[in-house]
Amino acid sequence: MCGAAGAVKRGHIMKKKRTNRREKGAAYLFTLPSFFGFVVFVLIPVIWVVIISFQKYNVFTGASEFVGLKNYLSILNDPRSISALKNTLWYTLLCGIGNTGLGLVLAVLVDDILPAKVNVFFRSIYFFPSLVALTFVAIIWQEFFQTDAGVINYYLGLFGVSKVGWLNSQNMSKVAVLILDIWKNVGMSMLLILAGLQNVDKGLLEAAQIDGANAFQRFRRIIVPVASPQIFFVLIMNITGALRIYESILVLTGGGPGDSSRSLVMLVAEKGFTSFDYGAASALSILLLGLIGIVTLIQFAGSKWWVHYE
Amino acid sequence: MNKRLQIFGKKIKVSHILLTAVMLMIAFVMIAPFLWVFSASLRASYSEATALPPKWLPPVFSEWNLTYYKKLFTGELPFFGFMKNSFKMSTVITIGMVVHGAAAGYAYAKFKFRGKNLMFGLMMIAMMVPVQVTIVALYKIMNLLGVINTSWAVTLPSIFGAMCPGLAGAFGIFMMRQFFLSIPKELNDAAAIDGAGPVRTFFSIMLPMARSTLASLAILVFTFSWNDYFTTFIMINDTDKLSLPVGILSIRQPYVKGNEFAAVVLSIVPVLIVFIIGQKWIVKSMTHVGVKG
Repeated sequence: MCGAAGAVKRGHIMKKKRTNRREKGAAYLFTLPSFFGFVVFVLIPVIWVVIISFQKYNVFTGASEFVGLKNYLSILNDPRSISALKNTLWYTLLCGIGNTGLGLVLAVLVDDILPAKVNVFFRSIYFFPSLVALTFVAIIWQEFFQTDAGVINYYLGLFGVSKVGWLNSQNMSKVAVLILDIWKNVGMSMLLILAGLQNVDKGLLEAAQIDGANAFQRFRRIIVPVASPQIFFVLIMNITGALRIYESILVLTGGGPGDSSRSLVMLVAEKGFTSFDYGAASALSILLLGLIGIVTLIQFAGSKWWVHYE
Repeated sequence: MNKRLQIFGKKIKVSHILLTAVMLMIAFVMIAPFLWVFSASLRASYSEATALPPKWLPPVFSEWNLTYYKKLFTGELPFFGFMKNSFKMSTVITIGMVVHGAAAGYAYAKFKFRGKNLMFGLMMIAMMVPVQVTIVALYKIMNLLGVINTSWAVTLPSIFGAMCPGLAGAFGIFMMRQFFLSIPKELNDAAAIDGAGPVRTFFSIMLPMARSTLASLAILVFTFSWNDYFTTFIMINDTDKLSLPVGILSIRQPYVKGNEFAAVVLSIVPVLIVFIIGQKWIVKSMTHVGVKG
């Protein structure tokens, strides 16, 4: 009896082995094409950008020579790079906080206070701008931001606010970009955070209300902790997105006036593909990659103490 | 705030009415630019379009000025060429990403094989590297492949990564893997007992189940690539090969804005149609993406 059971067991194992082999074949068949794509279009480019950042490219001969840290030193000594870096950090901070904060507020508003049909209606409208290309909407917002004929100054004027030079003042150009960015992306943040709010136990909220917790306390003590994984994810997404900010500035202000709204990516494109200084462009790219890397590390480290996973 | 009003025979909280008013105002801000550009595209001149107070609603039908739309439709401006290019590139990118995303996502979710964690880990790291960082090297690689200034220079890297905002690279794989992880293992075992090999299980059992996630992924990738500016701007020089977002900026003229307003309206219409049809999937798929960062 024991032998028979053993034979059956061996048969099972052999069959299992055969399936495993077939599974392995299928696994490589399924994963290698995309992995090959990654190697060619993501991994090699990253490594290559690092290499180029240590080289000087000669536009006339097409030759490259190793120059050590020269490109990095030159961008650190270049006031334009420093201002682009400062602008990028400004965008990152304010777009990150603004999009996530307002996204959270909108998510709470469209969660389940009003009847379901009304909520679905508002969700769709708030989300729609996220689907439209920045270049298209930036063309419209450029008209809105005009000093004399612009819609925004017109309505501000009704409240007695004097005309703001949104696009032609060094102080306001970044604010205009910020407003466009939040208008465009807040719906996406809302929807992603909403997914987290759906995990909030409605019974718990009611119990808290009966126990006398006001709306803000319920928000602060119950809703935010439960939805924190999504809020944190959205914050990171907004931050890494804002680090790459490009089209909205290009259309609205062209980086100006002066360099007052220019971002790192704009400078990468300009150095790389207008003045063909590949070395400097790559060094700036690596700077950008470093910033993204820091944010990613914060994501991993922060999620441990900040986020309440169940 | 718990007072109730009697409206249409229903009791409604006063606080809810106030909230609805606030939400309607926000809704107006969200759609105002679209209303405005539609209205502006139908005005005869730039000064009429931008006259204050702003005209949010289009003029009555008999007063519609269609000059600018005619210019786009007759091909006086290469608008539909741009649209065709955009459509071609977005379709190629979408098909490519859905196919390899579904296959690889399935393998990472269900198969055990050597190098799995390393490969998947590398791709997740690559997700954090946007095309803006690698653009200089990517340009050189496309040059080596001899595809600069063709749509391949945009589609190839985009299929394998690049453009989905916030989530570059392995986006499609990640999303499909999340879905396949949610399918119980018993289903695979049952298929294996019935004698279906892993490839057949994938095609005849798993893919049909993944229909709605596949649709969401396709809609998302299509919209994102339809909207992409940066990659096309760097990789393609010839005007007649440009995609819509880049092309639209190339036909801008100072003081004659009617052309670009009409072009913006026509560019947004396809997105609007896709959104109205796929709204349920889009909203659901965004929820999927957000489940676990």
